[in-house]
Amino acid sequence: MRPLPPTLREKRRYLLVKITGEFSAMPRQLEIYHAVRDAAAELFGDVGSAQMHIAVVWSEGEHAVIRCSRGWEQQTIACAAVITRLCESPVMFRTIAVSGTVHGAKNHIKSTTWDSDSLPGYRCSGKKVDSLKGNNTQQYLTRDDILKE
Amino acid sequence: MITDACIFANQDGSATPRRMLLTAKSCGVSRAVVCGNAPDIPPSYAGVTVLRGKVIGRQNGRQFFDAVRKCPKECVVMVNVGENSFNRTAITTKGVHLLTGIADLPKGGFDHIVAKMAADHNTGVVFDLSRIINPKSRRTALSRYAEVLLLQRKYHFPLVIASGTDTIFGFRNTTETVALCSLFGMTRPEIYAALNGLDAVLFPPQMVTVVDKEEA
Repeated sequence: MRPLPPTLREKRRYLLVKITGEFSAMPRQLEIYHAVRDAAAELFGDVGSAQMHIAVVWSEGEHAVIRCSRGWEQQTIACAAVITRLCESPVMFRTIAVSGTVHGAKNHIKSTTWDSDSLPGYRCSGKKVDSLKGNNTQQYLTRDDILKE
Repeated sequence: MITDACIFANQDGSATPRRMLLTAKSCGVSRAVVCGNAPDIPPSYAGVTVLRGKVIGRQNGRQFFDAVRKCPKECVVMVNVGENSFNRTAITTKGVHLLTGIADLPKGGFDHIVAKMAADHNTGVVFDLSRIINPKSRRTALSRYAEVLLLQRKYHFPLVIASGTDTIFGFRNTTETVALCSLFGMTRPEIYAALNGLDAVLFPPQMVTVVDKEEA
């Protein structure tokens, strides 16, 4: 049987999202999918989420590509934006780009160079910053906060 | 200038106020109103201009007026909305810039008269995104925001959008803000007008004054 010609296929859009959270290990693709699917079901109900055809087609490190039907991009971005917890940890899904192909979405991934200009912020995972005015609860701080001490 | 009308940066929070401003910058925010206990924030950090803000809760008449009077002049004063009569008092009080807490509004708390007064006194209304993000308050927030939006389209009082967050995970960039606000029917031009709406509250357009020409 011949494959479906491109003109008859369902049109899709691919969202590149960056996942930021307090994980010990980055979440798996299935866990990301469950989070997005649950958020879609909460926001738009079963009917809406069924029409969106959500899937997570790729994930690596802190980036993932979410697929949806064309015309449902705004709703899918909203679904990703309302996700606050993943793997029992606080999380933030930041939508970086929307593209018509997975390859096009991946092209928007920017490689981070670890120098002082591009990364002025720190994360202290142990919840201990002994030098910061005796306050040992702050996890996220900037280089300026430390220099100021 | 994309403005976040209310973030709660505390010196004792999980992130330092500077770190929160850095995250705000990464979301495209160029000006933020910072409420909370953060005494040593610079006036500008990482390209984000900082305005100090103060949220005043629902109080009795005299306490409310005292609280407004005690606010520094350069402070953006926000008032938590309550009953209809309290809202009318808040709007007409000199020095009040914004009404916040619309998601907790009691039934009939913001009617067409309050909307008209807000437009006349140039008092803005804050749409807090954290109430949409939080699943417990989402339904109430979406319905209240839709009601207020209908009144705004008729009476044209200023609208502003705030993240209302106290962690770095609560910030949303403009794409996500557009997606979240479109959930209750806000259009893209309205959203961008609201993101830039604080200027209309702080620096209202003045009437043109005719200056007499000096005779030679």
